[in-house]
Amino acid sequence: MSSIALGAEAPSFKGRLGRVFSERNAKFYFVLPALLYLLIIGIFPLIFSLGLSFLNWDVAAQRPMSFAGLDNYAELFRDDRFWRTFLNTILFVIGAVTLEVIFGFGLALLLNREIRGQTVFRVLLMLPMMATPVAVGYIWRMLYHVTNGPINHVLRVLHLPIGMWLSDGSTSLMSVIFTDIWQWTPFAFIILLAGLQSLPTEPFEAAKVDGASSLQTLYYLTLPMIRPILVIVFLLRMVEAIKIFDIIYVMTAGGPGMSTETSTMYAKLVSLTQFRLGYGAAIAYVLLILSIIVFIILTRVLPTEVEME
Amino acid sequence: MLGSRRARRRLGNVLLYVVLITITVVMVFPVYWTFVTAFKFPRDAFTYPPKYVPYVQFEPTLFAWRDVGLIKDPTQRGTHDPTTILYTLRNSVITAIGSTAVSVILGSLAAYGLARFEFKRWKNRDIAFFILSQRMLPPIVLVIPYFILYTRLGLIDTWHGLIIAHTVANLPFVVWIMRGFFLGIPKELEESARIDGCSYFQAFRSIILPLSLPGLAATSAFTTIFSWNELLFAITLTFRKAQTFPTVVAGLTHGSAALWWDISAMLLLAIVPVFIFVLIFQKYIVAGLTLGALK
Repeated sequence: MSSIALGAEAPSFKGRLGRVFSERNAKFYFVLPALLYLLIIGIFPLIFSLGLSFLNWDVAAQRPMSFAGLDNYAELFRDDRFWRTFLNTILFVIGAVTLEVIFGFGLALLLNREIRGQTVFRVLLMLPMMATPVAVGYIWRMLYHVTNGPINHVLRVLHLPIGMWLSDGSTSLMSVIFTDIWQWTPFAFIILLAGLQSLPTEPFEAAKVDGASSLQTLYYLTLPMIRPILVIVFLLRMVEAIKIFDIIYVMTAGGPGMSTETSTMYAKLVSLTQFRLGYGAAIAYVLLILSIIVFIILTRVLPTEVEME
Repeated sequence: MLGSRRARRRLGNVLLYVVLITITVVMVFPVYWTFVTAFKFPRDAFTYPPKYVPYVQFEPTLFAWRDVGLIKDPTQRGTHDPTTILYTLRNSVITAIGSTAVSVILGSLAAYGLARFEFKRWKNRDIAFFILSQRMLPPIVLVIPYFILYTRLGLIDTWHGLIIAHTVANLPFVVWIMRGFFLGIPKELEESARIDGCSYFQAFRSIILPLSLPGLAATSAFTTIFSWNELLFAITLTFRKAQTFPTVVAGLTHGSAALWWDISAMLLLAIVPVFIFVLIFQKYIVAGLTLGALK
């Protein structure tokens, strides 16, 4: 199956009556609807957005729209708030995703053995990622409440210092990151557990016979074998984390100040609240370019099987 | 010596369980807390110290559910409008079903085409990459032009408008999963049907589709959940007629911010359907996730 999955050209159907002709038509009929859909509804607006970013279009100001060339991008370069939100986005993505993969891997290692109640643990551990992100945001907003929230309550009971969490600019980003980690570690866990369970057992048995310690097995055997899957999980989560919106919107709406405002939120603010559509489109485009760069870097620099095929 | 090794292993086992249970508690507690808070009186819900155990620390009640208007009670004046809640829930269902239908149909067809046929001018690999790369798009890049175009085309605040938007996000995902699925089905089945005189489409419909039901179930589950949860497109492109439930939840931050009992009830309305849905489709979802990621 894997060689076919690697995108080797599928041999063409040659029916008894030589229906190569109708094959040529059929394959288009299958693929065309989806392609057309994505071209019209996906690519066209994308190009439209690019065009927007070259315009001066402030719906609120009573001026007509005008061509602005690269002015929007120049302005964004000088915009402190843009850089602040950009940095927030990067911090969020790196912080959340690396920890999710690490914790997910740790959990997978823990559960990759005969334990009683494995299914129960697996189902319960999957709970966070099945919850609607808007709801998750609000749940944690309540949990993080400084006076009435359970988190600070437990801390007080344990005589530990309480935190200001969402109310303070220095802890807000961290708190939001932790909520994302709570929600998506199960994702990494599920995939990595399946990966671990699909590894061949012979090398591990041989290692045990040779007297290797758990740590040595982990470092020299498990990690190299599980690496492609680690990369895939990392990639998948990165792509999603850049798009983060729901939980932050509900937990802090970008505040306090701009401490949790991400590029998506800033672009939305500029274009749909301030109605500076040209500038907002430019900000969104920079986020898109970041997304593409991250993707290219991750698929080139990190060795992986050809997962797209 | 043998005793101490066994004792050490047992200690290791206990430690393992302790860690696992702690982590599980952390994962489950927030949901438990919301569930429990939805059944508290206002004085028990937003108070210090917070109360965790029903019957022991507080008396459970359906007050919040009456307040939200889902349970009719003439003696209690509600704080929220039940029609909004039920209406937006219904819109969420409609959008989810619509978007799932369109993306699964278009996506499976495309996935089959990419799995079975050879494209000369643009290689399969490139077409597949083109479709799958759409997932990278940060939605905000599309939301802005959609807002403008939808306003011009009168698609704002319509079901079909939101379905169209959701499908753009769901379609690549369906193609991704179903393509892997179709590649795993041996060609002999269709070839024998073709020799018997079936057209490609007939072969697809009568032979491949029934075999693909697990894959279709998995992808349908994902697209339904995505559509149900989706917020950014929903708050931008809808506001009354086609408004979905997540927008209502997001709006709770203004005004009702301290009514934890009501809010918890509504949060449960948002997440419990998904939980039930996932429980039913559990097998397929895990299979689909791992199939797509491990392929």
